[in-house]
Amino acid sequence: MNQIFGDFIEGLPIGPEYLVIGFSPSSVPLKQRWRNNGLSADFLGDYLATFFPTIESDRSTVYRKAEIRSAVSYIANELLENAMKFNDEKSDYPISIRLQLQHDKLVFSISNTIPPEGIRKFQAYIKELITSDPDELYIRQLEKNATDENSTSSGLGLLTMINDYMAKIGWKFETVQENPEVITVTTMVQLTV
Amino acid sequence: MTEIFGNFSESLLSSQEYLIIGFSPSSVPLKQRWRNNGLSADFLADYLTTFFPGDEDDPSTFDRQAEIKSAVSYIANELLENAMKFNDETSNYPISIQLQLHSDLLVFSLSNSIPPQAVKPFQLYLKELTTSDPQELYIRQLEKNAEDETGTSSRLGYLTMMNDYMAKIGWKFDRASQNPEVMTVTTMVQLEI
Repeated sequence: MNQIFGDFIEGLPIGPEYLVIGFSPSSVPLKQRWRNNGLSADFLGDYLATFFPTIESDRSTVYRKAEIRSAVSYIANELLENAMKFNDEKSDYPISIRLQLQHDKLVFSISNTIPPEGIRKFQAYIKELITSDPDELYIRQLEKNATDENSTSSGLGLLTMINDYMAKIGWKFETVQENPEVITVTTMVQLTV
Repeated sequence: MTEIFGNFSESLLSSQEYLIIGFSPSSVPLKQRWRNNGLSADFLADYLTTFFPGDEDDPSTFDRQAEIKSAVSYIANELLENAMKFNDETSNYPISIQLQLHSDLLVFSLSNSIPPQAVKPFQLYLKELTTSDPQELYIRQLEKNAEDETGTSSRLGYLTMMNDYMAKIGWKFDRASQNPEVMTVTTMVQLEI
């Protein structure tokens, strides 16, 4: 399987400014893993903010820096949470998140396994996401969440990235191993800076 | 040209738990870069402690956690400082630091360019470092530093890692490009855990 949805850049050149964190989802208890996801998301936000120095006489640079820090931290957190939630628990294939700084954009990509039986449903959701009006979909999703008491997934993370941070999102599904079959999905989020 | 000194093993660079940070030494002002180096060292240390959870019934686990945290932060800081200090300023070859967690070993690996004319003196120093008694060398270096008022480099970082943290260190020199000549050095530090 090799399928792409949305805005996905293949073979993105590796620039000199990047961070990669790889982990095996099962190597530490879940609670500790969440702690590290939070640490990682905050660190990425803090680290990236350094590239947007402020000028004291120009308030807009201060806002911009704060905006970038919170956008990076929010997006990284969402992506890590999704990866942990949808990861195929039967596989010990590592999860990895990469953040790359290019001159006019930030590119996040996170890769995790997905249970083969969960792919169709996820792809149907992606198709809805990339063909609908994101604002409308957001409202629809809110209503749906309000009526569905058993729902464990809000479905709002990706929509918030699109609506609030004007992010472009793409997905790539790949078979990385046959027998047993292991399929990974790489989610790419591009943020203009 | 590939030359190896000390304890260096390529196979230690692939584990399921890893962090890699790559950066271009000249892309942000130096002051900001130092800030990020400090952030990075602290983050690596904090992240790693998750893998060594404290157990309230066993106070020694907290000592161990604190020990690992300070060792990781110290070593990462030293390596990043060295890379910034000895990096070839005429080259824009990126600096990268990686930390790999194995079941009984933490492996740091830091790669940076080095001015071609600095390779030989550095290798002479490494020969001394890898063949002498590190305790003796530490004392000698202290005496030398006391006499040399113009010295900008204490040369105590590696010795401290060896003496205080029982770290094993290795270096690999590579030629990354011919014309212009770019030489790189990868420093590997192994810490038993």
